[in-house]
Amino acid sequence: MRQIVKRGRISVLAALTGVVLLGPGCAGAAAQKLSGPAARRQALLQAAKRGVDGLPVLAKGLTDANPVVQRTAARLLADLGASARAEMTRATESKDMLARRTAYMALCKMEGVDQTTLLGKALGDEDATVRLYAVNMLIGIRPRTPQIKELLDGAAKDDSPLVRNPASKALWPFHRNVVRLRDRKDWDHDVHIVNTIPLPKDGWKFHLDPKRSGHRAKWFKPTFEDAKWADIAIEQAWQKAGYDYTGVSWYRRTVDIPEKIDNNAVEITFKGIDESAWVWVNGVYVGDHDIGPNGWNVSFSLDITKEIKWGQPNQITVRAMNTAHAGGIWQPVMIEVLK
Amino acid sequence: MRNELLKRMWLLAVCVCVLAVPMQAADDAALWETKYAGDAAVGAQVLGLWQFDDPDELVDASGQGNVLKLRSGGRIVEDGRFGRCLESFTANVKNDKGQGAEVKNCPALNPTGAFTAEAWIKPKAELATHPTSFILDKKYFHYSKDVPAANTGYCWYLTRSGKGFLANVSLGFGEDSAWFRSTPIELKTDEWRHLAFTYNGAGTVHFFVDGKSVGRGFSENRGGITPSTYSLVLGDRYGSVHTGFPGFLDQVRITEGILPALRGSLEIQPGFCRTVYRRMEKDASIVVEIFNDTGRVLNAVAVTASLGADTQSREIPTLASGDTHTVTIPVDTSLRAGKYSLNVTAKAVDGARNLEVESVLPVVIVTRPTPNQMPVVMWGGGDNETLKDIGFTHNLKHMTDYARIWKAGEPTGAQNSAQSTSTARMLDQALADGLGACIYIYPGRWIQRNKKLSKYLRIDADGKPYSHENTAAAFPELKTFAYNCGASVAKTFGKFPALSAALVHSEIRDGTQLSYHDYEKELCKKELGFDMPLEAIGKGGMQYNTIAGFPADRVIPDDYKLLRFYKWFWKSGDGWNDLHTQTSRGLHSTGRDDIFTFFDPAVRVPSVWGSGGGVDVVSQWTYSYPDPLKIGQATDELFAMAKGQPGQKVMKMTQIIWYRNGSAPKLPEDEKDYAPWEKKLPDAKFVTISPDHLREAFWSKMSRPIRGIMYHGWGSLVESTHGSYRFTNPATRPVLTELVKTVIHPLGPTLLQVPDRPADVAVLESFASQIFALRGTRGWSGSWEADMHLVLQWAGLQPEIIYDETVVRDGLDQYKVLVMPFCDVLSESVAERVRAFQRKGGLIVADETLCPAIVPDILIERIKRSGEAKEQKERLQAAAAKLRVELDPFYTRYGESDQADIVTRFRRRGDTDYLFAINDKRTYGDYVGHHRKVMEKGLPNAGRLTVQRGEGFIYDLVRHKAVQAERVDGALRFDADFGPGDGRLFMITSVPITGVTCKTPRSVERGKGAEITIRVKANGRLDAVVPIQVQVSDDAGREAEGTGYYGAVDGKLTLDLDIAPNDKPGQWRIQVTELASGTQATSDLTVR
Repeated sequence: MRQIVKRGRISVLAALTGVVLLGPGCAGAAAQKLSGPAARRQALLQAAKRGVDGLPVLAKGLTDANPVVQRTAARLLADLGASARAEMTRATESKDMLARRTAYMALCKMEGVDQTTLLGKALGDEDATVRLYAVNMLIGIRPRTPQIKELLDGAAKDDSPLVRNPASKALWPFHRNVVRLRDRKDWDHDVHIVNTIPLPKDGWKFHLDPKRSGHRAKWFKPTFEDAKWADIAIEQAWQKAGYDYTGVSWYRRTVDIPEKIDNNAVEITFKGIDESAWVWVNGVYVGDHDIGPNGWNVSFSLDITKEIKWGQPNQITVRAMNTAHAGGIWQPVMIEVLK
Repeated sequence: MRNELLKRMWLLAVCVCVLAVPMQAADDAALWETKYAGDAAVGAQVLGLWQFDDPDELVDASGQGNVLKLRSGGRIVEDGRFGRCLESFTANVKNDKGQGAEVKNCPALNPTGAFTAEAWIKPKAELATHPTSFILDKKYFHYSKDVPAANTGYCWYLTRSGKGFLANVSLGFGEDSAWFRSTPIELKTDEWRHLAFTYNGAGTVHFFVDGKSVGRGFSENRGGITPSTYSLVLGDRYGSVHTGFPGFLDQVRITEGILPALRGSLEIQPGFCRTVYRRMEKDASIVVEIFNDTGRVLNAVAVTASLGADTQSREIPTLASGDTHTVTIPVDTSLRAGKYSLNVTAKAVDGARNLEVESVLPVVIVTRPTPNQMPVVMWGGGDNETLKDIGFTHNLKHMTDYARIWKAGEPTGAQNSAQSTSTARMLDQALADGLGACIYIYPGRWIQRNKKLSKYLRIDADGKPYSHENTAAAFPELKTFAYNCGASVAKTFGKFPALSAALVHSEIRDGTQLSYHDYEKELCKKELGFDMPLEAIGKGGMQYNTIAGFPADRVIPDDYKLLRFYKWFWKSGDGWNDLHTQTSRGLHSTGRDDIFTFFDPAVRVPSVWGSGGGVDVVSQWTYSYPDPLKIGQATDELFAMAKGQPGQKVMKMTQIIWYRNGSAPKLPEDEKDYAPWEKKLPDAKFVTISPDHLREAFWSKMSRPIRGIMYHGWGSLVESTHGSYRFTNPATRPVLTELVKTVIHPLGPTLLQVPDRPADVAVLESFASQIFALRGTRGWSGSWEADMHLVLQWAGLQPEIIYDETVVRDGLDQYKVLVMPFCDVLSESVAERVRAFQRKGGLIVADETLCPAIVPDILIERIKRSGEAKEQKERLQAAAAKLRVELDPFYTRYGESDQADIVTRFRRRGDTDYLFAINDKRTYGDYVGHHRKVMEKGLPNAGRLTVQRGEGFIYDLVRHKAVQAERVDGALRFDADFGPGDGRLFMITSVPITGVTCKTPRSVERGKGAEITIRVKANGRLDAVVPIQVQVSDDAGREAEGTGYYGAVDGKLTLDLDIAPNDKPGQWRIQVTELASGTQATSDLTVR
């Protein structure tokens, strides 16, 4: 067997005739047979240097048995731009998800491609990371057409939280980076609850929101008139109050908060909402709890250090959503003062 | 043994000095030995007297009406020094309440001028294990704090010092306080002793035990103390219940003025100078103070001081009361290491009688340290004896009076006279004990806590100070102050060799925030060319999907405004980095470049160069749970940071403490399931790291080219009685001791000279992603980026962590694989280099969050930690196994083990490899394992190691023997076994070692030098650093200077022995062991 040594690269001749020395992306100085994935990948890299002339070699790489080689081929074809349009279109059917994703990315950049339609197709891909790519691209497109919104609406119901969460967040106009004191990366001290202010079980106002539009009507505003809303008690599912309902509903209540208690942070803690929640304090959005159906029995806390008004009435609004079974604020709620 | 003798000698010296002082007033002296009555009890000068006897045990026998009230933990018992007495206790979990007794504040208990405090004390055995024990407290704050409430009144407490104790007094003077400390005193369990201190109302505190002087301190420009409003507490601290005096108190008295019996005489003591020296130091001398404490003028004072053959004499016609005369005596440091006596005699005419005082002051000469000793720093305090026993080389000390330096506005004395003298003695003792002192130097923290300087606190965009206060460190005057602090310490204590390290702030940047002082806003505009962006609402950045117009491919231009702003803020804008540079400069300003300055935790910031500024060393602390290999990940982050500061070194700290919530959060429901420590200390807030974790973490960091190691959590390492750090695992300390003595000591000098093996796998920690996708480990090793690093380690890779700046400055050509966890957003220059890397054949490994502009070659989906520790590790190791399968066709490791639980890592010097192999095989043990948060118990293991080198001769550097290997497919392969958590270190050379030689001159005269030449023999050029042990013994078999461990570069070592003029003549022996294969050589030297 003949060795052709050209340190750092492999010639196409070598790729066709025998053994190569591994390049900078490969190991040591040991030669590998041409049939090895590393050598095949090197051959692709060499072919790519020939531009469009290397296209046939690259196209063949899309069917390589090794996924890394396939991906390399897809990436190098993508670099060729519109010249590789046909290959990229075929690559959207590749068995390798990264090759497919690369193809979608490349096609999206090409002139004359209907991005939205293409990304709609990508949203049907079996692999979540391909769908995630599509969602991220759709989120970035401006203006957000009805078609894009519809696609994102669909993505917000995706089985994979990887896809669902960014889509949901993109449609949701409220945002808050919630970092609780005990989660703060710069806080290397013990955190103690020095005072707990339980929120009353009774006296809450309640309203269903089947169209999921309450936030647009600003149902979270302290001045919002909720007198006509139904009365409800918390610490029970809304089904127990007679609402056989699956979807979004809203809770509102004003609570009296005592004079200031010395603290490093204040949090509102929900021991359990079935299953997702979005919370406002005094009209300010303070964060959410949205981890899917498993969130029904998971306690969570949101920092309200800046929002709480000591010695005054404070307005609390909770938008709750269930997707199955019971729903609502079924466990106690409290304000915790931390030192 | 030497250290023990030295301590005893100090005590002896004090005794000699005291015994020589003639008692001026025998009647007075006798008085304190009796139960006070008559004028001694009820005289006008008596401000309070508590004798705990009938008819009312709590009455103030002085008649001043200061009636005591017992606190919860105090009681009156029989067997006092005179009748009954007050019993007090230390507090603990079961006795978490105030101890002793207290009396309400009243004006009489706040003497305005001179005063005396006395107490008979009888300690219990616990005193020996209790760091601080209060006799009296009317001050509350026995530590420095710049609030008025901390600077009033007085307190008197004992602290441990080796096997003895120090009496301490703190006096409040309104704006600040002063501290005074006795010389070491011996106190025995169950023995009554009379302790007293006097304050002269003008800055001098004098300590006495049984009427004899045990030290004196002076603080300049002081008058009477500032009255406090606190109650007077006997036997405990006013406001905390963990420093009670474990023992009995009797006849506690406070008197106005200084008791005649407690007046001094003509006193001899070392001045502010050194009394401990290293051999062969130039221009060494000792300063002796002759102090007139008689209260009268002394005439015809004659002083004679002799050290060895050198004698100095002085005559002073008159020495006024309170005056000091100093005599400087040269010290010959060419003498053999050991203890020497400085004999001082002072004679004077005291009115009609002659006064003669003699004193013997110890002078100690210690051997010079061998080169390249690796620091083992206790990040915190500990007693010297235990520190040495474990193997620590440094611990942390306070020695800076920030208020004094701020007031001076320029480099000045770092402390007042009393404190400086006390610090001098501490530094001398440290040198004698073979320890280094590492100073805490926290100028910015002091500013932050000083209410009068609140104008320097960071403010938000509305101009309000943040609730979590932090100094706006960018102000130029604060940087000048920081320099002055460093320079003041260097100026005051730079001549003390024990001062050898400085911690320049800790955790200070955790609290940094965007700040909006006019100066800072102008600075931003000046340096960036634009105003502080309104969109920047927090220091950490913001989610890219909340930024309008953010590029869809998440590649941002290098001049993207917010990117530039955040980079500026973290590199220089918040001011801390330059402030640390200035502090470090100040510490080096007197030429002590050997003092290493460090900042930690240096990578608790986004991944951008500059953290710590120009300090010599960056460090970081890391909790080892759940996976101790994290220590290596955190160490690699430090190297990434240091790469931006040429010459900067890396040290690594492992926390001795474990948080309960990370290891053993809740007690088991059934008490029968409790671990033994949970039964004993159920409320422990912090517990001890498990011994196997400590061992594995040790090897993980040692496998990197660090310059030293650190540990924090003294209370969890040694038996302690209080505090939140609890000693819950006695097996940990012996492991640390063993590792220091079997690895650090013999191999440290070698490893300090062995660099890393250049990496061909890099992990990008992307600053852009941290700012615009809120990613990053921030030094906590708890996020996906850190877990990805673990995956790589378990996949047999040796990754280097790199930053965006590394990519831009150094490129990526040196790597074969680039791993990009959580790299959502890239700057254009980074993205372009990554693309170029890939075009050249480089492989990208990334997760699903990768910036869409880059296509990975291998995808590893992010793994969120959940469930039990075992499951977490299994999931990550499964990802590692998958990565191996995908990567192996394209990448060959230089070395690896045949199983994931044995992690390998290489360092390299010349053509010699230093292969570390670490056993990560673990399970749940019976310490915290039942909580399933940590697999804390290591398991034995064995595996096969392979190194891709055709030639090689393998040596086990810990077991000091050659290792047999087979050659398979052009690689070396050999087997290795491991104990729990164990590490192995193999040196692989190109030529075999055949022995060692040692050449000495045939003879040498005392007082002259002898050159010792050591060569490691090999069949060819030995391109390695080889560990060598040298034992130098004199004619009597005593160990001599030069003994120790070395790292022989290219197998060559030359030692210059300086034979002392007083060394023992005869046949000396130099025995050499090379610690690779274990061969030895011996050479004899005749000393004439």
